[in-house]
Amino acid sequence: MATTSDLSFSDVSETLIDQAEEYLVNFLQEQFPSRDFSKGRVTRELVINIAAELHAINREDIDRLLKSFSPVVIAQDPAAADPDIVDAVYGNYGVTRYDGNKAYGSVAIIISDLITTAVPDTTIFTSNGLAYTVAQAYVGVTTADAVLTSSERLIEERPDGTYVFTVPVIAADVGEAYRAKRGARFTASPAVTGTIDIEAASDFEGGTDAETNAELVERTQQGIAPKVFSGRAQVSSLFQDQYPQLVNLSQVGLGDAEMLRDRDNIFEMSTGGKSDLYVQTADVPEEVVVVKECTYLGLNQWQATIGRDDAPGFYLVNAVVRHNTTSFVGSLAVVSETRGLDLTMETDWVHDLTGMVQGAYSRYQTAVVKFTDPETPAATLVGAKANYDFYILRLPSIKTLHDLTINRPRRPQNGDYLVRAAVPALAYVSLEIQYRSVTTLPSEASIAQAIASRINALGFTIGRLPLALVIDAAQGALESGGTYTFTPINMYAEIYPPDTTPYGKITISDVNQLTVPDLPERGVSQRTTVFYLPVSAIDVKLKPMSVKAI
Amino acid sequence: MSASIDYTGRTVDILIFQGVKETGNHLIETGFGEAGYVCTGIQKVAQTWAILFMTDLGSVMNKPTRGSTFLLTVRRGGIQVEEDVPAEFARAAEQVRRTMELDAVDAGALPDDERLDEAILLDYTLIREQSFLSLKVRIKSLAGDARVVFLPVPVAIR
Repeated sequence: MATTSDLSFSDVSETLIDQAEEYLVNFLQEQFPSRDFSKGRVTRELVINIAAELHAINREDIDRLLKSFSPVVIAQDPAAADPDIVDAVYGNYGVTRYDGNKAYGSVAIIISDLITTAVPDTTIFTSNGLAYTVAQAYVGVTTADAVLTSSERLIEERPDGTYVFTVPVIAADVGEAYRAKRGARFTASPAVTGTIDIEAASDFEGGTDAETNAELVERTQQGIAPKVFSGRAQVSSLFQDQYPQLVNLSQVGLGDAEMLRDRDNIFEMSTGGKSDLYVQTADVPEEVVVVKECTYLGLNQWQATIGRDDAPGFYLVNAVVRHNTTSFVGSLAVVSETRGLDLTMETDWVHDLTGMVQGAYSRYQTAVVKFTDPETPAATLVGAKANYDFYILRLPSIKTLHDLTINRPRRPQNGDYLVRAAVPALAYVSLEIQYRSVTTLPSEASIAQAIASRINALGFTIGRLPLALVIDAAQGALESGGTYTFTPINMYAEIYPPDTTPYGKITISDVNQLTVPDLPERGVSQRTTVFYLPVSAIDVKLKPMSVKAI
Repeated sequence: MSASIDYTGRTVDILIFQGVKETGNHLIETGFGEAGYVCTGIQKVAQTWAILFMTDLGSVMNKPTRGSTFLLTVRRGGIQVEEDVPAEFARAAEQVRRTMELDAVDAGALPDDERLDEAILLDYTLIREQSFLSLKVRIKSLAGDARVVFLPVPVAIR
């Protein structure tokens, strides 16, 4: 909480100082008409000028307080409010600002030889100018027997004859920018001996920005409702309280076409008592790597089961590769993927649901994946076991929110609330921006980031991805003159409905607007579906425009 | 330098040259004084000129044109020989004159004895052994009355 001003003279505008000086001169002149307060006089030069600077800084302090001293004025202009005072004000209501968190993940250190390799605890890994640290010293060891604690990391052979071991790292600061994607290149300082390459072993998790004043205001306004399973406002309040990083929430219930679970009766009539809570727990889904023991089926085919705890509510199996394969493109060929539900009771109760349309992307979801590994040794016997790495796309913390719904003291006695990850509409955008040669341009990456931030915040609000929003976001990152976004732009999205197996994904494409189809019987509608547009799915091309000199 | 004595219908300023007498030579010190002395007329002009002359140009927050380059030049070793003094004085005095003219325009109807006509360097002494420079300046108002100001300046001769 701010108890003293931390303002400096540089925080005060010249205009404010001029106004303060004019105010003091006029005020004193009225009080003391015989005094000379004109410029150059001692009183003006050595007294009033300095007093005006102090007056201005006090004025700024008071203004900040006036813009921050109550929830009402904070809500009127959150950006103008002083964060420390805002924290103090909302602290009176038991609301604490979410400070953001640091991204974390593992980097794969690829080395040329199978030799013990040290990673000191002072090592700084850097990717795209962002620093990551290690929590402790690590050492890559050559045999499994040498792995005694978490600091010893087993070096394993890669298919290409080099070696790899992984090291957990954490971002140096909070923020979304630190979410490295699988394959992102890193450097180490000091250098790790014998290193050929360093890259992110999988998508990094976490990494959220600190809550802004505006976000805190919005959350608090929702938070005024009791934090219980009840109406939509109350459930929203509960989820925001329990999971401040929650991006969007859509609640489907009695009377909604998307609510299928309360019509499981012979008359297919809605009986109420059930609600599906579609959540977006991150801007975009993250890829996690899960090592699975697979069983050989013969004819180069292997099979594994992704359990409900492996990646709760997961969307897709993006890739299957042999264990410890890094720097790969594509995947071993997935022959089939059969989704299922594991309704094993965890507490004294389990949700009532039948079939994938009702249970897909919930914590109960499982999958049996069959794939082909053409390099399976000929001597491998049916039933043999081997580890493979599964790269799985999922939203974080689905189980965290799910657990609220089965916790006996918290769950409602008369309601069945099922948490599900929002139905994904994975979007892709390709655009060309033309510019005059004299224009100062940001990088393609920062333009893509601006577009991604705008689209990923849409949530369930409009069920559309309009061209206008993409252009507006892109132009917002550019100079106002001398640039334009060339239209039409190429946009498409792949929607994976709960019944993707067996009915397949839905692809939508349009140059003006992508619209979520209204297919409630397949679990797809504006209320259930979110457009995800990761930066990696945005192709920005900057092209100089041909213009004549004037 | 002598004290102003006619305050009828005049606006006054704080007197920062302490020890001013109406006639004769006296030791003058700068300061706000204990009893709140005030002054008017040519005395104001002399004070204003002295303050602006001794203020480093650019050192006043939000007012980058106030002051002069004289002391800056002194500190930077710009005055090495006696011949440097008149040149640097002329440059700084011109900066002060321009500022005071603009201030007079801002202030509106100032009496002539409160407006600067000219500042003339009557004499100066550069004592290299003591790193000491003394300026004797005559400040004249548009009304024709004048005051002589002595400005002692410590100088580091390099």
